[in-house]
Order: sequence, then C-alpha cells, then structure tokens
Amino acid sequence: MFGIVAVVLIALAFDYTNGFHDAANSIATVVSTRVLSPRLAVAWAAFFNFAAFALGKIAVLRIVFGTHVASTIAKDVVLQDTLTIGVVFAGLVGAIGWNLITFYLGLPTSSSHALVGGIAGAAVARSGSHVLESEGLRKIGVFIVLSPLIGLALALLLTIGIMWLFHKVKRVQALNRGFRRGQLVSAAAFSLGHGANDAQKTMGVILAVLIASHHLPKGSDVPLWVVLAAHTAIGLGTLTGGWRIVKTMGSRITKLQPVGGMAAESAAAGALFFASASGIPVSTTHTITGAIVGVGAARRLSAVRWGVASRVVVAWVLTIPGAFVIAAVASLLIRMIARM
Amino acid sequence: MDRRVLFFVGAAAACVLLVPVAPDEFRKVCWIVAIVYLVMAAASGLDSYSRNHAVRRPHPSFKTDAQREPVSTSSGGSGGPASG
Repeated sequence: MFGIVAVVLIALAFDYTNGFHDAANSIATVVSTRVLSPRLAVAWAAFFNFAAFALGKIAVLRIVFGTHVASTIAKDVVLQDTLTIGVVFAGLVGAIGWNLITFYLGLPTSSSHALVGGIAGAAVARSGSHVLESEGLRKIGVFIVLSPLIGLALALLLTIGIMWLFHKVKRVQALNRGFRRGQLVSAAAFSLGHGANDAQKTMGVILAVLIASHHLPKGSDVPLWVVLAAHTAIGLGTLTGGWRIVKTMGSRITKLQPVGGMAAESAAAGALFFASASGIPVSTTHTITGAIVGVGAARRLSAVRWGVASRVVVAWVLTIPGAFVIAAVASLLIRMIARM
Repeated sequence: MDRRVLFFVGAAAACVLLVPVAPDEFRKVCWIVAIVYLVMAAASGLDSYSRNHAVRRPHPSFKTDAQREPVSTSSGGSGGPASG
C-alpha cells in the first residue's frame, strides 16, 4: 500500500511541475501583449486548467474533455500486464530525471514525451522489447511531428483569414482592443486544452498503478478522485510557479501583436482539442511553438526565430530516447535493490 | 524560389512520409495536413510570382519630364536659359 501511495504522490508531483512549466506556454502571449498582468494571467490559466475537469462531466463535451488520453498512457504504451508499481515508479524517475537535465541545459522539452519514453524504457528493461505496444507508440510518434505542424498550419490560415477580414478597417485602436479581448478567450481555450491533455497523462499513470496493484480491474475507466486530483495538481502548479517563467517566455516573443497572440492560442487550442478527442498525448510546448511559428510565417519566414525552433526539434528527437535510457537504468537499479 | 514555398513543401513531404508509419485511423489526418501544406505552398508560390512579375505602375501623382510644366526661372523672360 505504501508503494502505491508513494507512486501516486510522485505522479501528482510530476503533474504539479508540468503545470508549473507549461503555464508559461498558455499565458506567455497574453502577458507579452500586456492583455493581463503575469499574476492575473496565471490565475486565469489555472482556473481553466481545472475547468477542463468540469467540462469532462458534460456529456456533449466528453468527447474532447473525457479521459481518452489517460487510457492511451495506461493501456497503449506497453502491455498492461508488465505495468507493475516498480515499472511505473522507474518510468516516473526517467521522466522527471530527463526534465531536470533538460531544464538545466535550457532545452525546451515535452513532459508528455518524457513520460511515454520513461514508461517504455522501464518496461523494456524489466521484460524485454516485446512488451511495447507498437500501435499506440506509432500513434504517439506520428503526432510528435503532426501536432506542431497542425498548430502551425491552423495559426497561419487563421492569421491570413483575420488579415483578409479586417484589412480595410481604419480604426486600428478599436480593432486592437477587440483582439485583446479575444485573447482572453483564446488563452482560456488553450488552458482548457492544456488541462484536458496534460492532466490526463498523470491520470493514466495512476490508473496504470491501480490496475497493476489489482485495486481496479483491467479495462477500468479513470476513477473520479484521480481525475480531480490530477486537475488540482496541474492547476496548483500553474497557479504557484508559472508566473516566474512567464516573464522569460513573454519577453522572448514580444513581437507578437494581440491579433497574432489570439491566432496562435486559438490554433494551438484547436490542435490540442483534436488530440485530446483522439486520445493522443501531445506536447503543449511543441503545439504552441508551432502555432507561434505559423503566425510569424504569415508575415515572412525571417520573422521566425529559427534558433528557438531548431532547439525544439532537437528536443523532439532526444526526449523519448533520453527518458527511455534513464528509466531503463532506474528500473534495473530497482530490480537489483529488490533482489538484495 | 521563395523560402516559404520550400518550407511548406518540406512540411507536406514530412506528412506524406508519416502515412506508412501512422495507424490506419490517422492516415487520413496525415494526408489532409499534407494537402493543406501543398495548397499553402502553391498559394505562397503564386504570391511570390505575382510580387516579382507585377507591372510597376507609377503612382498617380508621379509625372514624367514631358508632363511637367516648364518652371520659369526669371519673371517676364522666355523661361529658357540665357545663351551667350
């Protein structure tokens, strides 16, 4: 029982740090365009992170805000039989370890992919490569590339559409005021998407632990207390830590106008909603980066800071193998300690 | 060629390369995104072409030398330069 509680707490801590870091993604554009102050923006994002839970309870919206992503993490990464408490613990160690290393190196990585790599690495180290669920991993792998590309295309088309619609408007100040208000809605939508997709990864981990420890039968849905705990953890993470990182993120993208911020957030939110409805864990960092690149590319390609974009690509390539190796080592160490 | 066109074609190619790897239910998503990028590449290419080959019409306020009225340099004179 102690092991289960420890792993659940570590999973919630992982969720908390996820909210802490990714808050910057959801509100950086609102802060950089000075629509909201950093503190207010963080509270706004935290509220909508948590609101995703409430929306998941409404039947019509369950297709987007349900627990499809949690099911993918729990059932489609490795064979469920191999998910023991030790494997999940080693997987979390791999994900958190990779996040800490890349945080130190300043690489923008995805917690989601680190978690997938960590669980896969821990399970392979314990039982061999045959435990990998190729269908689920292919789905996740394909969307590592597709989700930023979808965000980019949506943002670019949205920016061009807005420019077409409003290019004859001469009252620029009134138009800007409208876009600033629109950014409040788009930031809320992005935070909803963040809550719907990222909080569910932790739910998936906890679900896997509960199934592994026979507290739940195989094929069970996520219990309500897990959903509530995961959304609370990510909301608290966003509320307490995000605003420090927002200052850095906001200053990196100061060239965004309210119209661009609104387009980027709306596009990224759209991509996240689609991924959540399809049960695919995607990176919110990569999606919003793709969308911001799309807004820049609507003007000209040189408006995009390709240095930042290339660092994201490096992180794409390295995250899953990196977390995989750390988790595999952690899994082997746990087995050695257990045998002693 | 416009760099934006190359970027969009590259993105479309990446989506097409994902088709054989993607699970069956997501193959059409790869195709749709690839087609969107190809359309954006074509639109960017046309935009670039029209910018480079546009007939440069002068601004209505611009006048050629022939259209300009001669400027008189001295009052009551012929306006032309004095010959020695």
